[in-house]
Amino acid sequence: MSGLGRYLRLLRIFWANAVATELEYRVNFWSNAFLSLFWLVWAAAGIGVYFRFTHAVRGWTYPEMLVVVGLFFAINGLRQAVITPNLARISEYVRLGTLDFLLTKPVDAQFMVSFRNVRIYSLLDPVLGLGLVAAGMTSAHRRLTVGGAATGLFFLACSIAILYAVSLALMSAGIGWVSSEGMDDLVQGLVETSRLPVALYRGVVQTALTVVLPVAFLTTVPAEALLGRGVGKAGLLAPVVAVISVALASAWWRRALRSYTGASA
Amino acid sequence: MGEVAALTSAYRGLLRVAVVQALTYRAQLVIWLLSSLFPLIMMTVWLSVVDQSGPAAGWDRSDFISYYVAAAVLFHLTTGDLAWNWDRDMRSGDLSFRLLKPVSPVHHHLAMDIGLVSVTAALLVPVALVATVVLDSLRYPIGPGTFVLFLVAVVLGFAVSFAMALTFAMGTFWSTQTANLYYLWWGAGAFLSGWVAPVSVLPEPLQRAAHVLPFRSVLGFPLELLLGRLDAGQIATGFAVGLAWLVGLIVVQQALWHRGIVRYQAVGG
Repeated sequence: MSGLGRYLRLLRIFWANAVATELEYRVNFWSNAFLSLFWLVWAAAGIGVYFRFTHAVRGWTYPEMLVVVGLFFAINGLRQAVITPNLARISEYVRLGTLDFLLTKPVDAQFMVSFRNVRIYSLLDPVLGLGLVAAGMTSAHRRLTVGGAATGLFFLACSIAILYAVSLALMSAGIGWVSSEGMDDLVQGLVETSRLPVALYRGVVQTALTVVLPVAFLTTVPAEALLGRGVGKAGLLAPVVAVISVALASAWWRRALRSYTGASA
Repeated sequence: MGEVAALTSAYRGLLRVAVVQALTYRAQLVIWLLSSLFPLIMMTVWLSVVDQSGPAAGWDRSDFISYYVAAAVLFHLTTGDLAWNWDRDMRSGDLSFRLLKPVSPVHHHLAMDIGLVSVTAALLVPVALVATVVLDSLRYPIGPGTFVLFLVAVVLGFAVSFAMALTFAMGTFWSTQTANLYYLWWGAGAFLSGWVAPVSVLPEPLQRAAHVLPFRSVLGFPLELLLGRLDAGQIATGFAVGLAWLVGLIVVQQALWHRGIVRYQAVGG
């Protein structure tokens, strides 16, 4: 069987398992689904307060900003579904020796620590988020062109890759320093700043969020592409940053594994 | 030993544990403080709005900066972890163990929250004070008298917030979804408490609701007091609303506690 096919099959088994577990707690599922919808409305209403006083903030109208909020929801939902449950376990893996066990498996260790666990009900957030994106596009009177959709999806893929790289880098750090507690909070803090277009931040903060931290690429760039606003230089940079950050994070991960001596050592 | 004396000595022990616990996980505490960026994000946008279209409902740049910086600090001083901790205790079965102790689990959780808030305050308040002296934009134009009232309002805010969480926590005797229900309550309240935006820039109907519901006592009321935006009548009303809710919540919580504890069948260990 080919390598990729094998990994896809493994992923299906892991996630089917998670679905089965979740279905045991159906009330929990519905309650979480309702909560997701509630937070979506909450986020959309929250930024609505500004537009009582102005028509557009730094060139972003309310419907356009909803597109960014929708993408924020999508990205943040993926974070909660895939990154949080795995990242939170790293220090437990090291402490309990589970990592030694994972390393002996005939599967790539990076794959195992990154995708072994999933929180199914958080996958509803990306769906709801994309719904808000559609609503925002409609009320901004922007037709979604094929080109716009294609570039939008491309930049969304870049943004997911960047987010994954950040979390993998933190996992590598988790192996070295043992305690990964609070790391998920750091990723959350980073993603939280992508709730709004970076143009709304000012001066140093805006530069930092584009150059130092790749926040601009998370939601602003994909939103600009979807809205057909023209993404400028950031558009050229997004795939470069995505590729480089994933490569760097993977390299760091392999280095961390090399220096890892096992739980019992 | 008298009941009061016994409780005092129990609290001394519980508080020490709570403070040590909060200090043990101090790295986590710092990360948690750093990552609560929401008010600062909201502030940034207001600054853009004010730059473009002038003061919003009488709030200028410096007002928004002073408000949100204080909100970022005050949130940590009036909001504890009770709802979350209680739900966890219920699921893990730790509640049974706590019920066996001579001190009510409520005291245990109250001490835990006071410990967390004290350690957070020790970290944040000095930073906030230095920032206020150094930065021109941070303006809290009040005298010593109002400042004392502000401190009282903060304590009242903590009490109301704790009472709300505790009343919801009683729901765990009936349902496993209580924590989610509390998130809903908190989320709805975030608009009316002044967390999302100062109450006075909200639409009129929301403002009216905010002035009679408990949420504003937790955040908006002390903040407006600190910014010197309230006259004597408004201050008195604010305290009255907060106190009334505190008493009401305690009455409801007590009633639920007595019914719930009879119903309680241990889960797990």
